[in-house]
Amino acid sequence: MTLAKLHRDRPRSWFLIVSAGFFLLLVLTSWLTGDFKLSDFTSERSVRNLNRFLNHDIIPRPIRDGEAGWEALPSWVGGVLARDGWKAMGNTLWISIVAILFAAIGAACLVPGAARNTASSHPFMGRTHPSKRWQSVVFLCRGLLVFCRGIPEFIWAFLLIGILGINAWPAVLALALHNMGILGRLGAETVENLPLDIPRALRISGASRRQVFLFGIFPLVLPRMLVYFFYRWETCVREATVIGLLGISSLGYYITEAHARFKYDELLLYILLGSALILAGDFVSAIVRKCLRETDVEPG
Amino acid sequence: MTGPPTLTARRSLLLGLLLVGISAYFILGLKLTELNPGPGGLKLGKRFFSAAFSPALTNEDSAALSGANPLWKNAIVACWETIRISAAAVSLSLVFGLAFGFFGATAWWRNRSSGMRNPLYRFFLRYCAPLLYGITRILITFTRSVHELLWATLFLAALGMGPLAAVFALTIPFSGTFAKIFSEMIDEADPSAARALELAGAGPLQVVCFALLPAALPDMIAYTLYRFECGLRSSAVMGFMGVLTLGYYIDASFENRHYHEVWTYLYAMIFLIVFFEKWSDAIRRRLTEGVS
Repeated sequence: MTLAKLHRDRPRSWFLIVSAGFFLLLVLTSWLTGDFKLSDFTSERSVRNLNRFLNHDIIPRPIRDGEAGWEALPSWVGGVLARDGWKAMGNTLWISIVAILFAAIGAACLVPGAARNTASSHPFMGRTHPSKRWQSVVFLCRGLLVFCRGIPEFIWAFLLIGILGINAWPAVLALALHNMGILGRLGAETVENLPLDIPRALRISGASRRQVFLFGIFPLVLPRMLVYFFYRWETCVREATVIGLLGISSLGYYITEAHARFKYDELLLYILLGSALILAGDFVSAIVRKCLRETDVEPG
Repeated sequence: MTGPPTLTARRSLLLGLLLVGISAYFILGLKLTELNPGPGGLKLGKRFFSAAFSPALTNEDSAALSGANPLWKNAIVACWETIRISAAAVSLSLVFGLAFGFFGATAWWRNRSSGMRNPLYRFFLRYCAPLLYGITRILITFTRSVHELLWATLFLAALGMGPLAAVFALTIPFSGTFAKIFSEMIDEADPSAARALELAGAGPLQVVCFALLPAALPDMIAYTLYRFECGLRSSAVMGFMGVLTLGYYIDASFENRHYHEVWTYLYAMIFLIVFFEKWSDAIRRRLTEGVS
């Protein structure tokens, strides 16, 4: 009896049920109507290609040509590293670092305008009627952030290369713009969820907007924002690698070049170098984030 | 009189970041003058960005392509293909992610073997499970560390590119990410229910299915939705590798200098991403706050 009643009264949400149904339907129709032919993989030609690729193409050239045995592998890797490898890895890393810093600075400038509790004529004084002027400020800042993060890094880079030509700037700007959108959104959410007492106390004792933001809010949100910052930096390293596919001299550039010259052995090596770089980046970021979480207790 | 310390850990971290950034700037050899695209680039940039205010509603050169699809139809087809590849890839990687996430978690086997009566079970938990765990971890780390576009490049080199290859290229790193996150969620789930089931004599699979998974489920659903958004972005970018998603149309229109069309597709993509972002936000809110 009570069990039946419990079952009847269990929490339900039509919204969730409909959404679940919709996503299920979406997955089903995509698999059924998509032009996914398994013959792409099982046809005679592709099996032959795959065979050649695995047993011939990706074996380092000196070994494939029978000039040397597998003991020549380290010297071959060393040769590629000395020629372009180190430079490519370095470029990838530096691009990601400059980009994420630009992104953080840009986001820090937009957050006060995008968070509803700072962008108001009475900041932190609870929900008063926001004036039309402040509403439009919030709308503009959020619109800009949505616009920046709605376009993927790769497409930003593609568009910017068309305009700025090929140098490191399009890569840096593309990564910076997209991540500014993401960091700005996360920052605005963090600021909106802050406990209000500290900024309110500062405001009441006569601090200006800028003072409240610099000395009340910034220290409070910093620990969490640093965690987000390092998390986004990891993705920056990833994306900086592939933006090179468009012609900027990060790892991706050497990957396309190897591809164009049918040097699949070098292609594979560059991909592995990229994955080593990403692993190193993830490792550093994980350590820093762990330290941050342990030293900085939640604000409040 | 001693004031507050001038170089706290936090300050030195911020300062260090700034220094690394400045040195990276100079090592890269970035120059502000290179930001000036020159008269040709400036004109092009102006044309491109002013087109943002008037996205095309019809094909820009209708004369040359009289047989081509109207623009709105192209945009819808591109969006649908983007959604489709993302949905297929995410659903497939969800399956792999759940399996690998199970083997990549420690909660169901670590310190559990002592209570087992069945020697076969005990052997499995003590020796096989840690081995499986190690292999899975290595697999997860490797698949994650290669970007989906590079997997696509590998597929392109080895097999040629088609929609299915794009789905697989997305599936490989996504499965790794799912497995990593899911295993963490299973390990961090509240262990009390698991403990209770175990004392009542449940096996490891039962513990995972009836205690650990239900506890982690809301977070897992929320994360899956987030991955679907990432999948939309990635599948759009796959267009640059020749799959007919939004990226393909952006690439083609930009190369043809039809900037108004480019903006139509860009707005379509922003709409797509914001739409699913808002929707999954709503779902997440209901999941985490509990349904009322």
